[in-house]
Amino acid sequence: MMNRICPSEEVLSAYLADALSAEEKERVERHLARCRICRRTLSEAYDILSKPDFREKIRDILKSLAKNLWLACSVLFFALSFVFSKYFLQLLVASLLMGGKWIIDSKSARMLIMIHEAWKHTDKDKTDKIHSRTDSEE
Amino acid sequence: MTTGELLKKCIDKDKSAWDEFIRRYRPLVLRSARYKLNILNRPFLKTRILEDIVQEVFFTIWQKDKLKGLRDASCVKSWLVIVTINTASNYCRKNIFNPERNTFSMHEEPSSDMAGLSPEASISSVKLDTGKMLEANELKSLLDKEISKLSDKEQLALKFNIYEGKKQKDIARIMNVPEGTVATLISRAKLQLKEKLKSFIESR
Repeated sequence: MMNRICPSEEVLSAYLADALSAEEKERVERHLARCRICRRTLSEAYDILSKPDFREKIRDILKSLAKNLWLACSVLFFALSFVFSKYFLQLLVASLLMGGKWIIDSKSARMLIMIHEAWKHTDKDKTDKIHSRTDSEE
Repeated sequence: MTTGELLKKCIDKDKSAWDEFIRRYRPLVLRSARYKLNILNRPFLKTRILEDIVQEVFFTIWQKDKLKGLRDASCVKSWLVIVTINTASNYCRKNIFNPERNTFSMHEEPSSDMAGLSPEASISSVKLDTGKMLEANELKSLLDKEISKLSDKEQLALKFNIYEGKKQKDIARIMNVPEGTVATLISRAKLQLKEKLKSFIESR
């Protein structure tokens, strides 16, 4: 007679998240192959998790817009500089400043600056060492 | 705060962490409850009933310290969804929704498809249906028997495909195997069943 004790909610969720050991996974699959209720529950859970929430999607879009706000403003001002040709130079300068701000704010730019600083520092150390050696030899 | 840190604080019954937990996962629990009620053909989108279910989910988690049994922080979303599905089913069973009973009166007029038939004709038409039903039941029990002889993975993939109506890419994600593996499992299972049921089908 088959053991039909259903796995706990924690085990089922771990199966769905692929967080079980190979042995546990086999045991759960053996049960799921025979238990319609657990299979149905897992199927429904997958349907809910795989469909993105409309509100979460909007939130993600707003977050990415906020991250790239300086870029968006830079592009906008650049476009406006052609519309309001009287203020072309001012709008262009504003666009360049906002674009520069976006570049500086972005993570990759910060990393490049850090690497450049570290490289400069290393170089300075090497140069200082050479100077101190040449001075001592003299 | 990362999910792991949040869960740890919730297990320690930190009130502010618990408030953050509810704030973060309430939309998911609400969406799961709504989905389950739709599946149960009880599209009660009344806020009060959904709110009852959502509250019961979080109350049960709090009261029974269910977060302690969680395997990993990565499982929290799938775990909450499964807990909500079960809570919604139990809630429907216990509280409001009695199964609809089909009642009929002795003095009721017969339905249109049986109207005009003599009692003997009605009985003979029922006999034909019974014969077909018996054949269908025989096929079903043979199918169940042959399916049970397949390997666990083949059975699971086949049942997800046929009984739950899942596509191969979805089954691959649920079982955490490549899509090609699922395709192989299902085609192999169907081939084996086809061979086994060939003689039964040919005899009909």
